[in-house]
Amino acid sequence: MKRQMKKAAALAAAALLALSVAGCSEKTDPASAAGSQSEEKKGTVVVYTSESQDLVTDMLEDFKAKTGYDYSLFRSGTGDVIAKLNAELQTGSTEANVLWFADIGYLYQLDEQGLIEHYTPAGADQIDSKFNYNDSMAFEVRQIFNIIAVNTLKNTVEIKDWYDLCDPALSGKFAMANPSYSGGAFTTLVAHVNNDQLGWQFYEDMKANDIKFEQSNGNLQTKISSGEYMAVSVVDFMIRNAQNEGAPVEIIWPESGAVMVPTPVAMLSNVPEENQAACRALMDYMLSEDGQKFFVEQGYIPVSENVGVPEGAPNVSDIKVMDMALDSFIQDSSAIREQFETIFTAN
Amino acid sequence: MNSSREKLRQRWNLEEMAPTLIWWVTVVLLTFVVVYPSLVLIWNSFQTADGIGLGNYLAVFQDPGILKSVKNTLVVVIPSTILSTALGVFLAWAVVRTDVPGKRHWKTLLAIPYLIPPFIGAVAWTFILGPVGFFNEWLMKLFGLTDAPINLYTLGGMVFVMTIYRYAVPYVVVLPAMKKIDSTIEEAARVSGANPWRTMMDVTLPLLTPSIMGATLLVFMFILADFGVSAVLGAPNQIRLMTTQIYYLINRPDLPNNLQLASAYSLLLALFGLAGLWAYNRVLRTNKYVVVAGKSTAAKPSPLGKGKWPLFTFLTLIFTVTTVAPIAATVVTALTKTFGLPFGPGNITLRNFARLLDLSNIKRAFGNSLFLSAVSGLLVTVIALAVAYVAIKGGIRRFHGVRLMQVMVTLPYAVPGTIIALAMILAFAQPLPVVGVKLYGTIWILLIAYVARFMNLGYNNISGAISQIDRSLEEASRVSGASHLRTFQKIMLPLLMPSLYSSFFLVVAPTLSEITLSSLLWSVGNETIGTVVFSTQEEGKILLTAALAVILILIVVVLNYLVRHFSGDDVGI
Repeated sequence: MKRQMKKAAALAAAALLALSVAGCSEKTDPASAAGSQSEEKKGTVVVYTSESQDLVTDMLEDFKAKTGYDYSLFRSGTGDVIAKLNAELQTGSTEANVLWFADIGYLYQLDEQGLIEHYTPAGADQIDSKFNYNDSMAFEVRQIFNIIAVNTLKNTVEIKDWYDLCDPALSGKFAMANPSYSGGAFTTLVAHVNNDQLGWQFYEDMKANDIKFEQSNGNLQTKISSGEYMAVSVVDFMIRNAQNEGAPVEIIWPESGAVMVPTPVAMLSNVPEENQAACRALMDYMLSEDGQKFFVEQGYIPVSENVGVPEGAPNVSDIKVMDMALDSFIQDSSAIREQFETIFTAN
Repeated sequence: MNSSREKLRQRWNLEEMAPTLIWWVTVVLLTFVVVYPSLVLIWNSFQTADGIGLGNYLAVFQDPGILKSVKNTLVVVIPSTILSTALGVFLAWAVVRTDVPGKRHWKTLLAIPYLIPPFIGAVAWTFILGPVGFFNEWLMKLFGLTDAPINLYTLGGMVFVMTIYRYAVPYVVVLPAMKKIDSTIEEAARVSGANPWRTMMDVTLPLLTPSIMGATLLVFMFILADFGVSAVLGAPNQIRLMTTQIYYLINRPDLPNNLQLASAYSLLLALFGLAGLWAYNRVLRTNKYVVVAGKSTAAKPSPLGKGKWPLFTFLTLIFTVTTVAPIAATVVTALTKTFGLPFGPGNITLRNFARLLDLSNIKRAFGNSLFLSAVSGLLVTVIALAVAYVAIKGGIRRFHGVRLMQVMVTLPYAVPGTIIALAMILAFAQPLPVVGVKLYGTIWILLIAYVARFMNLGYNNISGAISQIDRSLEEASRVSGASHLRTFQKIMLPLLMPSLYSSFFLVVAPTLSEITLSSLLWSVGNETIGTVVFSTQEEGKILLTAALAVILILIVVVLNYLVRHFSGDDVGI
């Protein structure tokens, strides 16, 4: 009897302990306390994104400090964010106000259903018109490039351009993110297969050279640093940030051009009245000088030409960009995915 | 003779009615949490681009990708289920029924792999057995090889990692039953001249069949539903299991109804889980196993004599491979200053832990996850106890839905978490009909999702334990005039307590670092450790991810130790 009570007490104690830890940490959390003290401006912008959680949070904190609008953020992988949004739309409404992820094709789908608000932010006239998609449907707010990165300790091959990745010495030692999961890798795939020099033949040849895949750019960054791969095709800012921390990695800008990965920001058309001002303020902020400078501090190449570039990055005008074949992205998306599947998983 | 009045009195007797009440409350709760979203999921899988139909299911059998993933899944799941069950049961036997030196400590140490979050565990293994992993590099140096001799990114690699990682599930499940075996039966075998090995094979194991079958079923479903290991090890060579194949479909928004299609694929996956359940029920029905009878004495270990040091060496080896190696790899990573440079005096830092505390949401995430895992652990244990008790003992009132309930409990467990999360959104995104409360966007949706997903763990574990208890114990109590409730309280509960705790433990560990459900259902203020782990891992912040994992493992180990300490070693792994 006594023993039984002791056991029950122990079980309860374990639960209580966990609960009390939970309770304490909730009370002492500084972020929620700060939220209530912010300036008296009504409206919250709800952002759904697949961009880096802490970088987006820092940026939104700056936005909040400068404009007084509040924000709330949902962050997950591109596929998960879209799945969540789709499921919400299936029930009739979504919590999201502003979308920001690496699948511009999906934005066009939403736009066709009339779900996207075409809003032109205040600073839009200051940037190149190529960053304005489909007549203000969405805007590019900073530039991410898919480049080649090498491990400086392990790599033995001189790599100048994409086709150098088919060098036999790189057999089994080169990887890219899987286009089936990564928006950035899919954009790169579309640009490559539409390029006269590369095309599908490039992928057939890389397959013959035992190319490897990873689920996300983050894994590529980890494995190029560890030396598991000699070279990877990956987004630039991750490698730049790793390099600045001392990792043995280096960026190679391909001679025929890096691929610009669109990560557009768009506003939904069914945003509740009270949140609309906050949404517009956020889009304005992202293209403003403050916002652009903030992106540079975070290691991104900005869309504005007046705020400089991050440490270790080339000048915007010096970057050779491969045509990203936007039309093909929108029209042939399914066919390209199927073709990729056929080449790499059919056997 | 005065029966009608007596019956009426009995019917309105609160003590007698309590079980029925508890049962119905449980059923309503379970219907709300598990059955309703499951039905939404099933309904969703029939929605095609042109109305309701079987189109999605037809597509399944025409897709070479899914058929290949089914084959891959079977190739991985069957051997790793068998191997991990064999290992887990053997280890449980070694620490309970033998006099191996240090058995008290082994008991806890051998359960630790269960505490390592799947994503972290798989990544840790790539640090050891990957192309530039410690072990491969060592072998290359030793034999002067130019290429890594072991290739982890294969089906065989998955079997290996899943086995040494998941043996802890059958181990934790079988442990309580192993302790309860009437040791006089074993003694009888020994007196008749059987050695400890023969005693185990011919006496102990057959007695434990229900428990072992339950454990096998559980680990089968565990491995079937695995996402972490299959995603991490399958990625480089594009090897897809069913879970990763379904995840691929979720990532195809260019297809008109990819989510409905993914739901149909998921239900196919669930069929495998249900097949396992069916086999389990068949074995249990055809045989009658009763182990815990009235005169159970304290388990006396079989003396191993000279055999105890070889066994000790074996346990040390297992512990080193399954626990020390991956945790050491994780700790080394967490203490690394610059990832990619050799680990050594110049490359050590504590700043990854400091940075972790700087992340704005991390404290809230820890609070939320601890709260969610403790509450879902308790809820699952209590609900599973009620349902399993009625299902097996049937002593309260016949209820034909019990079998259906069993199936419904299996469903959310056997399909990928992402699909369950989608079902939750579809089921709970709108305010509830009568009360007008919206659960979506609050922390409660996460609680519901966790309970729904992990109910199966508690249910199977507890039902295995209940079916091992002899009916005569309860009957004796009832004959002596005790009510149902009192009998349950005084007889069943004490006997079941270790299994109840192991259920609690089985649920707490995975919920604490749950990723796939959380990454779709979290909202601001309700972030969990899993969502933070997922982000840091996806963004290539491997050092922070490792630091997080170290803290997580520490928390669970300390919690478990406290439980053990306060219960005087009776409860706790």
